[in-house]
Amino acid sequence: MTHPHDDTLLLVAYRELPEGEAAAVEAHLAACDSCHARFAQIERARVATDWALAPRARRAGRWAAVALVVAAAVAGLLLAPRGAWRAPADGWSRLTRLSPSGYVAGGAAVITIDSLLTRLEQERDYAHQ
Amino acid sequence: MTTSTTDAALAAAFAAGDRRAGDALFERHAVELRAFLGARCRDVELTAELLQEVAWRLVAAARRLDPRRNVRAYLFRTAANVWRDHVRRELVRHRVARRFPQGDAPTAPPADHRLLERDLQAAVRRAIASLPAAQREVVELRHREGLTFRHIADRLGRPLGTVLTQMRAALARIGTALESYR
Repeated sequence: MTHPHDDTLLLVAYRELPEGEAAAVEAHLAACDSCHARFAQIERARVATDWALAPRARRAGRWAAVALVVAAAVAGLLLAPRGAWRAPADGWSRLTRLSPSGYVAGGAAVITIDSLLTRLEQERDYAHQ
Repeated sequence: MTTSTTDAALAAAFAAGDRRAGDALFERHAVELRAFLGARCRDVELTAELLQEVAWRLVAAARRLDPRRNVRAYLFRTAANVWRDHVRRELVRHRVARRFPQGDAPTAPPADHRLLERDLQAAVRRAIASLPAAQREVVELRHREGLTFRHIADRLGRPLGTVLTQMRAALARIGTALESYR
């Protein structure tokens, strides 16, 4: 195989070359010092960039999780009986006085958040399929 | 039986708790995965270590495996993630080695590692921010939006070759910013 063009190395680094072609280039990289050196430079910068710039989907997912936590807290407060907001005379904090329905709403939200984050992680894993 | 259906059957069995199916699934793709990682690190021992990590992640993900998906692609995606994580660790390790030249880098406190990681991220972000707009646009679309270069070319109305050249130029500049981390 002739030495691959820099554009080809870029496509290999980003896994955008068809399987067969990528395999041929990878076999060449395993044997050619100069091409591997060029490829290593691209790879280092690619990984660093990937690390520095979080994909928007992941960010959006995190904000969605934060929104759900806030929603759960608000639900807990709204569903708590009014008496729960009296000054705690027995030393218990206000949070322990939230109603069971509020607690359940919060728990359901946490489960939703967990499944959301799991789904986002799976989507990320399968993103290049 | 085709490769994909066999993969699916093995993945289903593995997800159900059959560890032999997991071994067989991994074994089917081990040669290609080794070539994939070997081309990137060119180190037989390191390749073996990284391959082991891929196998470990497969085991860890067993219950979440979806046989309806392309399991082969999942394995390669995992290998790419393992490689990416290795490069990332290496970037930080080199930085630590520069900061602790007496050879005590491996014992540097984790807090320092985190600090250096943030330092590295900040350096890369600065490099990206200083790119010419046309290059930065391509970098953002590729890394933030996850578009392929072909889609980026379509979206921006530029020839694919131009987009690839701009991306390479951007990575070269980012690479220069990383020089102090080598």
